[in-house]
Amino acid sequence: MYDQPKLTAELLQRISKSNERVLKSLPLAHAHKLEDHHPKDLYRLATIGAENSSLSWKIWQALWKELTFPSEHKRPPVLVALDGIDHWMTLSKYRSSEFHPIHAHQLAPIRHFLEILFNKDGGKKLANGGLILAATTGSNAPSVPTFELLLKQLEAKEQGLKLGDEEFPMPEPYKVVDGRVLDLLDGSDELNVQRLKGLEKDVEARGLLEYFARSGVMREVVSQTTVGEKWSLAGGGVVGELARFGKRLRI
Amino acid sequence: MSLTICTECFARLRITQSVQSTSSRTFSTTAAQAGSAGSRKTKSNKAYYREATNRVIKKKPRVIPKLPMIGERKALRKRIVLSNTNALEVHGMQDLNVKNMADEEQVGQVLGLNGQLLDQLRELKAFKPTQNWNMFRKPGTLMRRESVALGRTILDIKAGQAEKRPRTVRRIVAGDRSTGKSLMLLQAMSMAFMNEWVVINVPEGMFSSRWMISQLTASRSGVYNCSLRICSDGFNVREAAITGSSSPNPALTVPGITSDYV
Repeated sequence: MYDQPKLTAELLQRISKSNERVLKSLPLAHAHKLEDHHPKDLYRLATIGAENSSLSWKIWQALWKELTFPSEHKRPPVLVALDGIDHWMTLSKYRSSEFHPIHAHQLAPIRHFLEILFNKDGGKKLANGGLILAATTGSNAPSVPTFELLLKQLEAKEQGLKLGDEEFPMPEPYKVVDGRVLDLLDGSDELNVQRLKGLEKDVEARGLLEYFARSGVMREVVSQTTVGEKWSLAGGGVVGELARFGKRLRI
Repeated sequence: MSLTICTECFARLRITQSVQSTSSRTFSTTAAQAGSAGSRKTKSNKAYYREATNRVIKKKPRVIPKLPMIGERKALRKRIVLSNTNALEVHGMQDLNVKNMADEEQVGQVLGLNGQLLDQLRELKAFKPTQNWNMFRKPGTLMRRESVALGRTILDIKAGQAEKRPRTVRRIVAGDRSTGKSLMLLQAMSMAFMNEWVVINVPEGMFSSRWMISQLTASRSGVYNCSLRICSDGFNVREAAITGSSSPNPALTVPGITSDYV
């Protein structure tokens, strides 16, 4: 297990700055062993972690405990947004002192977030509720076939299929799979996978193109024909592609 | 000739400040070679037998280009521009608020993000430089059916917390390229901020990116094994392994340069 103290400190700094008002109103509920520091509220706790990178991982764990363990204080729910989790399902670019590549799951922050997301043993409960949202990445994705398989398995699990069933997605024969990634399937009953597809033509796509036209970015008339045309060219209304068509400049 | 180019690429064309080039060249060089009345050399350059011509070569002062400061070009690449005054103002555009975030009527509408919320999102690195925020006067997001469903989920979790039945929703948003996954996260963050939640965002590649200079520390029961790897473009890759010491050796640690320029 490897810590990443400076990056954790950076994360704590961002959290403390953006949630300043809310964190300042939350006092500490549990006792933590922090050398000489006695923060009076969660904002102060996060700031200490941001300033001292050697303590940052400990403080991160303390902050997480404060926010998610049951206590008599009233705490708000927590949103954890994770972008680009494909990068976490493969080897990282770091190497150990024996020069073996380090898998991303051996990095403590990544492990922590994956445990919260997948909740294998059911141990990571949020006492005040919350939403843990992770997004895969499309344009910057490392190719991780095991992770794609895991997503398919999660979707199959939602539909009621189990590991022994015939139609349950299994790895292809003679392909090397990453055991650590497939292990994430156990437990994970609460997790669901949402596949985003294209926009609806008549309401959503039209609304987006009307906004582009009203901002002066798109210089065409927004009619059923033009909306339909752009929707089709965008592969069935994929938002990013639709936006590119909307902002096309003709010289 | 008609040229179709996306306005993003067009906006990116920039006249870079190049180094001051030497004086412009004239069409004919005869006049320059001949020189003006004042600049003709008085000494003759006649070469004697076996004697080197002592041409007076005027040494031009060395032009040292003024390089931008360290980090300036990176900051320029990674900057987020949220407003463009060249775009028209969309009248009647509502802002995203607690009432309309779960409203079915808002599907297809673009709702704006206002003031303090923008600062909070910017601080969390919710915006990406490759998104098209710099095309519009005011930043806004399109409300899809999925966004409205997300809003409803958030309100439900909040109600659950108030009624002491905490509800946790764990979800992976997947899909093809450019289908709006990162924006779905941004919408979730905006809605959470408006409902006064604690929001934690891990932007893409934060913990596993190759070019971030970061120090790894491995802690295994008692033995503090510090393995230092510096991976970045242009830096030598060095590796130092120390075992047994209980505190990091300051002589061997390299101050990390953080990548926060946004």
